[in-house]
Amino acid sequence: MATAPDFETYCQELFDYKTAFGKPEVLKGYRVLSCTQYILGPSCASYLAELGAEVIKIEAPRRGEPMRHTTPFNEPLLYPLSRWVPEAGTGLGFFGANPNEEFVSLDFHRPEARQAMLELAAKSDVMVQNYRPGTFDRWGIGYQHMSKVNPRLVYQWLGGFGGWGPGRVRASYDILGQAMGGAFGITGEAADRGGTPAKHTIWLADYWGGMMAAVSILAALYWRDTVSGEGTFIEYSQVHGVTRMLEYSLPLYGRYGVRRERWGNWDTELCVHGIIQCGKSSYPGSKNPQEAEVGYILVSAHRDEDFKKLCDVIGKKDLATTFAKHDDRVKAENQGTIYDALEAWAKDKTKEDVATLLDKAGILNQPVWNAKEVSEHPHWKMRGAVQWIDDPTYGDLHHQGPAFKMSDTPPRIKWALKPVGADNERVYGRLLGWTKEKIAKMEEAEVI
Amino acid sequence: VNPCKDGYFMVGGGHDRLWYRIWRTVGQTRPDLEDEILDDKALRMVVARLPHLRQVKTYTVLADWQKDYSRADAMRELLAQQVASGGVNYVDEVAEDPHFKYRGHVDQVEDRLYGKVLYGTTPMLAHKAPARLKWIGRPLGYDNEEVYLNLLGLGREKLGDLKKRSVI
Repeated sequence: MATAPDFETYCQELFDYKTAFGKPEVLKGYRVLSCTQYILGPSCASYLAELGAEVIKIEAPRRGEPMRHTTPFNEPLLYPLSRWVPEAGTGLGFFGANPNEEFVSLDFHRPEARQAMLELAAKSDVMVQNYRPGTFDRWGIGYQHMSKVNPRLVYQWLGGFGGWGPGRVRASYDILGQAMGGAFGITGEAADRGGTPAKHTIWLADYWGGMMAAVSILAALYWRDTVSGEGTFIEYSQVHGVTRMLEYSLPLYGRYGVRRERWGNWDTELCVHGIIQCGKSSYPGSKNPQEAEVGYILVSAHRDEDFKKLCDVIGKKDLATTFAKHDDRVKAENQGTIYDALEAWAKDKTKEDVATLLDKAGILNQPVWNAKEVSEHPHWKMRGAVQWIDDPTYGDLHHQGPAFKMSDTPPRIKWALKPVGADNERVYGRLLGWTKEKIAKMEEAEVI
Repeated sequence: VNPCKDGYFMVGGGHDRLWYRIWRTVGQTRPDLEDEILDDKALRMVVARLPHLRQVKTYTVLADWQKDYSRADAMRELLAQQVASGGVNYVDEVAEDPHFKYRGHVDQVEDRLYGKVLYGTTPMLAHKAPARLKWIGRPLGYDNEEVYLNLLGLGREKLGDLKKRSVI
């Protein structure tokens, strides 16, 4: 028997992202319609697109969905927006939630659009939309209408507060979902250290919600294709999704009436297991304010033997005796003492200095990296977590790679995005059989 | 997210239509603040409002209005103008929210082993085959017999042996 390669070599060959294009796509053959905007709905459809589904994104004619116009400090960068509006561009906010999709335009308000939507639904497996609850029903393209032309359709609606209930008639955003669902109430520095509830920089509830919805869709496709032969209507409330991820907060409140509070960069269950400040910048003399800022590092040494090692490193052997037991370390008042001692020790060090010393002692740590440091790290480059793609429309783009690795049917990034309506001819012509004249007429009337 | 009378409050309305609805709401009780924003030419278009100092102005003026409003009152006023907004809910408030309770976002489950547990339920609602919570967890090895006897077909003797040797 030939000797098996060691585990690292085995994985590296199996998961090399550069070989992805030579392998089959796991969701090839499924067609998904995505009438989505911002991040919640688009991210859901994009996960399916990364896995190889044919995703047709349908946007308002000419200018597209609003996320194209939402961009850091108003610099669009990706031109053109569409063939009709070449002087405008798509903002970077659109990036990351729309790869691999086909882009068509359609004005849902028009009666011709309803007919086109029903024809598309008849030829698709999945429909994803995140307009306000009931809007698509009003336009005659809700689940009730589409399931009549295609009973096998899996129809996923995503939105703020759900399609029913006393608070349903409200729009929502990621940060509203996080505020009302309970996430901000337990995020941010503790009140007695001067903290306030904090929002996450990333639209976490949107990306997580999109993932939950994608899981529901895959489950519904499994049920359709192996059990029942029928489609299903799925609802995802963004606020509900946030509440679902509150971990122990609700059981704690329900049984003991204790309201979980913010605990900043430390942990309520483990100590030491948090982020500390290092007093020196990693870029001495830099005039860039982001680089002149001091560094931060995550330190995890909650097990007794690790904590003892950590106390040795920082020259505070007495702490190891005083707080020898984890039950003592994790108490709120003692965490303050311990973290203050760690920060006092790190005051004259950079995050890299601290990492070197902790590595030597065998203590788990990780400097807090900025986007530049993440992009340049060889580990992420080798795994394809960040990669340069040769985008057919926009040229060289630095892009996040799919986070899930599959040995035989890997997900992949084919292109980052396309202009509004880029695939009108292909989809309306080939899929719906519209003639060149009909496409031109629809374009002229701004239906597409 | 900014402070208000009884906590923190979120208002979302970057695009022009919503932007003016926010200030119409504010102007009902604080016309001075509405004027301050509407008179500022630099704040008229969505793209012009993004630079840091203009955001500081926007949020300072908004917080001046909402400091006199509780989360519930501010939300009522803004929702009347269809502006997406809401307070930062603490965990107890999440558990008591009438909309969440009605829809079962938070539910008290009667767990056979652990009794009553308040729980954030699954948001994956599929109408024909919905996801559900059956139990919250079980003690270590609780299902050993079910799995090793019925699924793997090990005999009781073998199971006893594995237990004795701490393999399972």
